Amino acid sequence: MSLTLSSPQIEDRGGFRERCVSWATRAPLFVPFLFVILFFFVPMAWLVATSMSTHEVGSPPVFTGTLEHYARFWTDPFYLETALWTTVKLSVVSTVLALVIGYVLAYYIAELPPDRRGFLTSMVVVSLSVNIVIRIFGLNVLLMSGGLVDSVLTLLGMPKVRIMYTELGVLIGLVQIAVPYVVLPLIGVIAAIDPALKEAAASVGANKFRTFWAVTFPLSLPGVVAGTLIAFTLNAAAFAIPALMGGGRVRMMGMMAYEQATVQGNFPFAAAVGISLTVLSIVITAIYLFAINRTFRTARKAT
Amino acid sequence: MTATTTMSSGQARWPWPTGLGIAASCAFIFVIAPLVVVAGAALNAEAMFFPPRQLTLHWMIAALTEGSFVNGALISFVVAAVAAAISTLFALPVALQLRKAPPAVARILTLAFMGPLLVPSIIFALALYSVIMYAFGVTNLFILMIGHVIITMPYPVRTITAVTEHLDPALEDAASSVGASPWRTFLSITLPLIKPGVIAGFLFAFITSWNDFSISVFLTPRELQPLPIKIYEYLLYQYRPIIAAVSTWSVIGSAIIVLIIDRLVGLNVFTGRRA
Repeated sequence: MSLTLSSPQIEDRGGFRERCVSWATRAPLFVPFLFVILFFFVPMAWLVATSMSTHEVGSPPVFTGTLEHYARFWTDPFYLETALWTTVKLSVVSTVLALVIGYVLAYYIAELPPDRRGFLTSMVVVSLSVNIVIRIFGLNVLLMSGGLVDSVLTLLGMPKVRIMYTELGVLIGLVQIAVPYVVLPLIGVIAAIDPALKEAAASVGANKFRTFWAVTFPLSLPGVVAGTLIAFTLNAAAFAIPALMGGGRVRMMGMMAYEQATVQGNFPFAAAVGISLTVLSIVITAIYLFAINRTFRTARKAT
Repeated sequence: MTATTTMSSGQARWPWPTGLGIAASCAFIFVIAPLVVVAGAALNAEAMFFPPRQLTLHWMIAALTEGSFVNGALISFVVAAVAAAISTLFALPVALQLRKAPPAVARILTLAFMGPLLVPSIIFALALYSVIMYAFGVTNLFILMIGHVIITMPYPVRTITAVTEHLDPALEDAASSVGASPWRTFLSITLPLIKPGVIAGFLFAFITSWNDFSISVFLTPRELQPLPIKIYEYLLYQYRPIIAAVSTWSVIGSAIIVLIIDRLVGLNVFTGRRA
């Protein structure tokens, strides 16, 4: 340990050769570093600057430091209701539903003996690796009026429900896309829980549900957090799903940013919507992590 | 023998055997339903229905000869392969330095290379698109590839970092103490040891790029559209079984890639347990 600590000093005092070696090992880092600076951080900074620029049809944005586009988005009830509220509501609800559905499936797979997990796991992975557009298309065929779901509901004597091109349709789409992202990290985490812990809980008289809440679920939290974070981030920025399943009626912020930039050519407003969405998604993520941390810590203190 | 042990341990371990089984089956059907439906719809003779009413392989064959879809798949494949190769190459030194760097430097590196994960990809796409439009007025395949490298890089960084954490530094120290150059040490000691992480990272990056929609929808040049964009535009305006057939081939392709991953590194890379 002390040797590792003092090694930088030795390097500093070292000769030309050692310094060359030290540079040679770090040089390969500069290319990727330059790459992310140039093609990620510069564009993001540019986007922030664009969001504070003045828009005039037909001419490039001029940076004036104005906040009018943010003000327009954050004060207009139309945007607040259609885009902001729809985005927050749909992404949070879809994440919760995806967690419930994903947890059930992951729990079932993780409880199978290791040599029998293969088929189910690989089907979940295949679903994940199939293009989002194709999966939405499949849902589309299933849910369209006259489709399988519609016919079954009619057969059962249910009143006609319109699913496609409504918020419900978009919600189903968001959940469908998100479930595999929740299932996969959970399988590993749940499977790694020592069965002895559950047996111990059962031996002191805890029933199945109590064992689940007191032992399995808390121990699977890392998987829950990993899965829900991916699901939420993806769904908050969803674009293809509202576009194909919402039929232009369900507006989410990602879609709005796209339309404003490519169809309207209003880059500053698109940028303001985009930056707002990014900040919103980071803030909700932070609150979520903070809350998880807190409950987790108080729970540990209580025991 | 095995059957009985499985049964008994299953009964002992599953808290609500039938209830959980039914719920899990429903969840599983929900996960794979779109894939089954697309394949079913592709076998329809005329309009698209599920379940299909008149079976034919006509559209499945037609999809393979329709030039624009074949082109789209080819573009998708090339973009995914090149982007995944570059992002894995970039991720290697980053992940290796993360292990040795002082905490402050490691934090900066993590932020720099994981940053793209924090920002919704459609917003990053908008950012890159607006810079490119301002600077050049048009986009091209090269720009699309740059976008894909940025969004895929976090995955190899993560998988390689996961492997290097368990790497014994003594092995590399031993190599350099007997006079091996850093490059030589890397090639004959480090690389073979971290190979699973590198392969898994590449495959993750490949799949992310192959599936990407947000980056491509902004940065795709008109005349060179990757498959997802082709299918998306087709779906917006028309609805014929051929699109289901194209999609079915894509599903088959994805299944083959998953099979290859399973053979090479195991599906554990997805479930978070390393092989």
